[in-house]
Amino acid sequence: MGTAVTLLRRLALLPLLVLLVATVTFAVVQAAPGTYADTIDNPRLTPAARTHLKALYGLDQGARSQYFHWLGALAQGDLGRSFLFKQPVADVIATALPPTILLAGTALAMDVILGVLLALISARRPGGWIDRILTILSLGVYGLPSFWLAGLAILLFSLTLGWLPASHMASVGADRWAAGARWLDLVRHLILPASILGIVGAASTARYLRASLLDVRRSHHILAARARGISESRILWTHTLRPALGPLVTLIGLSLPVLVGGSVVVETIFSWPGMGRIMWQAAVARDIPVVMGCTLVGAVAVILGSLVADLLYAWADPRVRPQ
Amino acid sequence: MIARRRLPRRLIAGSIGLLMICGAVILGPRFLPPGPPSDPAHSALVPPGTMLTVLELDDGRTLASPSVTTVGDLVIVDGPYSREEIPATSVSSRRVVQSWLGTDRYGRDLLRLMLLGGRLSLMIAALGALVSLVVGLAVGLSAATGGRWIDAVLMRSVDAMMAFPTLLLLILCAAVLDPGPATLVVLLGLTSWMGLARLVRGQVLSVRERQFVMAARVSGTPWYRVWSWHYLPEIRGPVAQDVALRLGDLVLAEATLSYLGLGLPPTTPTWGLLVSEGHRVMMDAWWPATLPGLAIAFLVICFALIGDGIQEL
Repeated sequence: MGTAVTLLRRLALLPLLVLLVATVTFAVVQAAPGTYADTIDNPRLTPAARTHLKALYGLDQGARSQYFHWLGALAQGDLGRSFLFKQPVADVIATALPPTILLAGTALAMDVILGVLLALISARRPGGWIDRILTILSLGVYGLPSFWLAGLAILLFSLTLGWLPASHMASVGADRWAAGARWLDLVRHLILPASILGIVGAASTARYLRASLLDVRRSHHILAARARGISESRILWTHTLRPALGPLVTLIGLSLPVLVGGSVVVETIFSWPGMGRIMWQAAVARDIPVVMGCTLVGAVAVILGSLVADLLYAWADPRVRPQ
Repeated sequence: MIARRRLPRRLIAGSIGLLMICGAVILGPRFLPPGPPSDPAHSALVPPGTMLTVLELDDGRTLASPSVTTVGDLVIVDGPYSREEIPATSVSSRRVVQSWLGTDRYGRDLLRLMLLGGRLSLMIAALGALVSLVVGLAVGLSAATGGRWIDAVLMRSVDAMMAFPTLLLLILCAAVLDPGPATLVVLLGLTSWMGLARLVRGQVLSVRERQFVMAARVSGTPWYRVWSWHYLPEIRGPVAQDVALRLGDLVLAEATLSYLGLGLPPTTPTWGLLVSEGHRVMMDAWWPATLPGLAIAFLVICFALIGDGIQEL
């Protein structure tokens, strides 16, 4: 009962929070000097044409009138039209979302699998030499900025060895290839960016999970299980891993926004045509409708993500369920 | 009664590392012998450890080059982009300087750039963490002690702040506002205090009902004394750990923004910007991108070690 009520209450708060986020974002964009019409860098654009453009996009109106115009359109399910991409915002997001979900989903899977594996290996013999090496390695990767790793990976695997492509989602002319070849091409493009995101994520996942595994090992129910003569592997898999997964599922829930928002840095470096890159381009060009659309999607993802995280946590660890 | 415990090794290692960076960054530029001057034509992308010959000429120019030879009364200054022959009489002074970490593509000494950039990175992260600490403490303490309504309002605003996609918000603001150290400090601080506020509120709520706090409150201890004597000592450990880990995150966030060209203006050599500059010449030289990246990692790891060490205390 308690869970359902909490869930409903938090779902009811969602539109309110999203509206708040959208309003603040709108204020930030409006407070910025310059509009889209001012950022166009074309010497042939006369001042009169600039003014005409502003009027066309409604940028000459006051901030409040623009805001309510945007809000009214949103109420009818219309996100507006992108200035920069000359398309409806919904279409821009619809084309940018699948690549981002593909990239971030693959990265998340690598992150969780690799992270859990490393943590389990580490926690088998805490303080042993395998644990020490893994701890130092994961700490090292945790500290390295992902853009640095990405640069190094491109230098090594693309430019020097020539094994993997350095950017974009498909090779030039790949759309005329057979389906199988196209898939292989996509996977080859996916490997580098997904590995960078996945390995960086796995380093912190392993760090968190190792700490919480060791924490659980010290608790009374493990001692009780040992006293009952349950085998060590069963203690590890059922008695230790499940309660230790609590923080991990929170981490997974919290990475839902990354799944949707995209990793701006990695998408920018690898020219991956996803949400992060779109958002960045739109912010620089003052393309307000796209910025607002991306923020909306991002905010919904963050809120749903933390909701999912709490639900998963309650599933993994019954002790935190509301009474 | 109180047994002195040994400090955790991680705390010691992290602190020593951090002190080394701070020392290098603060004292380095003052006490290091002057590095080679920037001479893009003759000493761009010189590898680490190269000895550079610095020539000061009569016409006021200063040249630096790894290869200077004297032939008769001509001095031949060779470099990757230019070769000059100068009459020996117009050379007013000549000295040899070692470029320990090499130079970047403008012929600037990388060590010197990294020391200057490190100072900025550390300062921005520290001030950002300070902003986040002050806001987080204030919100958390007020929410825990201020009564039901204040608690509800403050915690819902924390939820709302957390609903912002942080990196997107940072990028949006950085793209839209005037870049500068102050903007960056405020941005980083204001997007990172929410976790701390939740932590402080939780800790204080759990101490609040303990008997010694109750006793203090019923005996009429003023609120500021309850805070400073009972709440602050109780939350010190978790808060210190959180701040240490946050510092590392802020260093990375600042580096990321700088890398994307959204942090500080390109004239200030922060570590993130140096990596991004280095990536442009990646095919010709490994050091301009690699060394600043390792510096970032070293700093972040030091903060992580300190955070872990505090937890073990």
